Amino acid sequence: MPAPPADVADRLERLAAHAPAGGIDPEAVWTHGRRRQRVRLGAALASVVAVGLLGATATPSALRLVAPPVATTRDADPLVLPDRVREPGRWEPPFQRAPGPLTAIALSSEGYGWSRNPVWWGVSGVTGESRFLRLSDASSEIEHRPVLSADGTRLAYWLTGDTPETLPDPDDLRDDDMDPVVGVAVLDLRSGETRRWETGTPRGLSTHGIAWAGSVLWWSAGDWDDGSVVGSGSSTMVTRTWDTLTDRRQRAVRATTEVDFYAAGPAPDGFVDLSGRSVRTVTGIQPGPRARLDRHLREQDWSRPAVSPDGARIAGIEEPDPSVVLDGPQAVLVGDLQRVDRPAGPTVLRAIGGVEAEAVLGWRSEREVVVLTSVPGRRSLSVVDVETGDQEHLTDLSGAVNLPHFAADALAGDVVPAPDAPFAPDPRLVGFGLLVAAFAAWRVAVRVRGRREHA
Amino acid sequence: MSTPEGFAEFVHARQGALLRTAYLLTGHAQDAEDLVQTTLVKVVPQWRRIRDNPEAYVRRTMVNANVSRWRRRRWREESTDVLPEPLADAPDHAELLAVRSALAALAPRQRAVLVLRYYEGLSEAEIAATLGIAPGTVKSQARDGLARLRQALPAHDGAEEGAGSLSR
Repeated sequence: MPAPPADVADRLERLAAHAPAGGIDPEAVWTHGRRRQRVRLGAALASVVAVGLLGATATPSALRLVAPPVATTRDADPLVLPDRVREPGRWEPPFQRAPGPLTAIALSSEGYGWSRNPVWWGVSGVTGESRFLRLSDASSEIEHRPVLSADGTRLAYWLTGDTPETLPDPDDLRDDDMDPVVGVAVLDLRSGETRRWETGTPRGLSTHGIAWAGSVLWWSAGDWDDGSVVGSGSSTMVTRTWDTLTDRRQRAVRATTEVDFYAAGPAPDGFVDLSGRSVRTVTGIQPGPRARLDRHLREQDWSRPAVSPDGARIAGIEEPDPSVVLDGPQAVLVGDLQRVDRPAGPTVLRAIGGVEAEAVLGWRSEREVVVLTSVPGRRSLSVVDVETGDQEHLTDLSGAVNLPHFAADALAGDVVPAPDAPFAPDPRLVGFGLLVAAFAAWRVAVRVRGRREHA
Repeated sequence: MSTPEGFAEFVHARQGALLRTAYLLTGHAQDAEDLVQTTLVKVVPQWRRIRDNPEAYVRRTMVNANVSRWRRRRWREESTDVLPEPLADAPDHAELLAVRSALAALAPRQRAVLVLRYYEGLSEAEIAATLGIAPGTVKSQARDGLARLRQALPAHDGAEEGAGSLSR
């Protein structure tokens, strides 16, 4: 390019002479520049934080949207048992409205999502995967564990709600997130339909137990008395039955009010009612005749005596001293219930070889009982042959701090490989990662721009 | 915070020259003042880094700010009532108005090329570095810009004939 022609430079020079005169105040410019710098810095940091927050809050919803629904099954399909029962991570997506039959249910050891409150989670009876359950009106206290029907298609839980009066709380024990129990509900896991039975309790219900006997739900609870306070009170228990096929709801007749189903273990088409050394099975709305055991069996929420599918045997954990609550391993005992009606005496319970366990959970077949065993760092379900004493590993409980409750039929189901946990990163980490990435990108952009402008 | 050493001196010493360049870039006195103000405000955060040789950075910032300002204005609805800013009485009044109009008709980056080349006297390489474009682009933009000025402006009496001359 040649040197600037004189007339171009001259015309530009003459035009530039009409430019405004100076008068710019350096102090004002500097102050303005510093203020602008602070504003831009604040805006940039706010944007970085906003990106992080957006990532943190949107991640669970996004994962929920992309999470594939758990398959349901036909009624006739047997329940499966995963080879590893896993508590879902708190950010994993929940089941859909109708999760299908469940193999097990348990209370989470920590909160779900942003909530600190524990929630119930279940194991799909079709795929074996673990997910949280959406039971917004269910009590989430550990002693209010929902109960699965034997085939895993119905879930009964303690229903919470508002009451006309509120129990006084002098010791500030009340969990503000928890409403009192006002009844029970039954969730059809195949259809997602929920039916509720509220008693109209004035101050909430003191609960005693809940158990399935075929299609009949037994439950026992009583209104808190007028003088009760949170954490301490009295109530008069009322036992009720609810035939979920006919929807017939009734208070139990006098002869059945003594049913104790706090430690109701599984029995064919019903549950075991154990009280001390007295035992009977409850089928439908009718308790069977009582029998007597020659020894005490463990009678706790986590270990209940169980009757074999053919009704011939009862198995449980030996309880040497019923006045003391033990949770360590004790001998697994089994007795022949067909000998109960012998006038000669009580059912004789015998040890199965030297097998010890912490709990009996149910039966896998007519001669195999499922027990809970533990070694440090590992809890497992094992199958014990009550005739030979042979013991075989069934499934592991991984990360399940609270022992799940298994549907009776699930313990007889096929063992399948546990599905991998879905991708569900902690959104706080996602947000933090995005925050760091946005900050880094911003710094790189500033540096590149600075270099380019400075070149 | 008080003004750091060198900034006030730079502003006092260079504001006249900056305003003249800005005036050629914008074609409007008020816009020129705004552009210089904006440029100096943008320079403040970088002052400590550039204080030893601020000229090139300030020039580049001003050209880029003018391009940004032009882009923003394109998206705004402009009033058609705005009258052209009059020039002070001058014997070459008509000619300078024509120069200003011709410059205003150019794209801002092309206008910047002409101003930096023929008013500031920068080399093609310096212009390329200032605008962040290739030297070849500088050359073609200058050639094209001159051609468009030729079409818009009357011939200058006694001007030299040449590739960059406005004379016909």
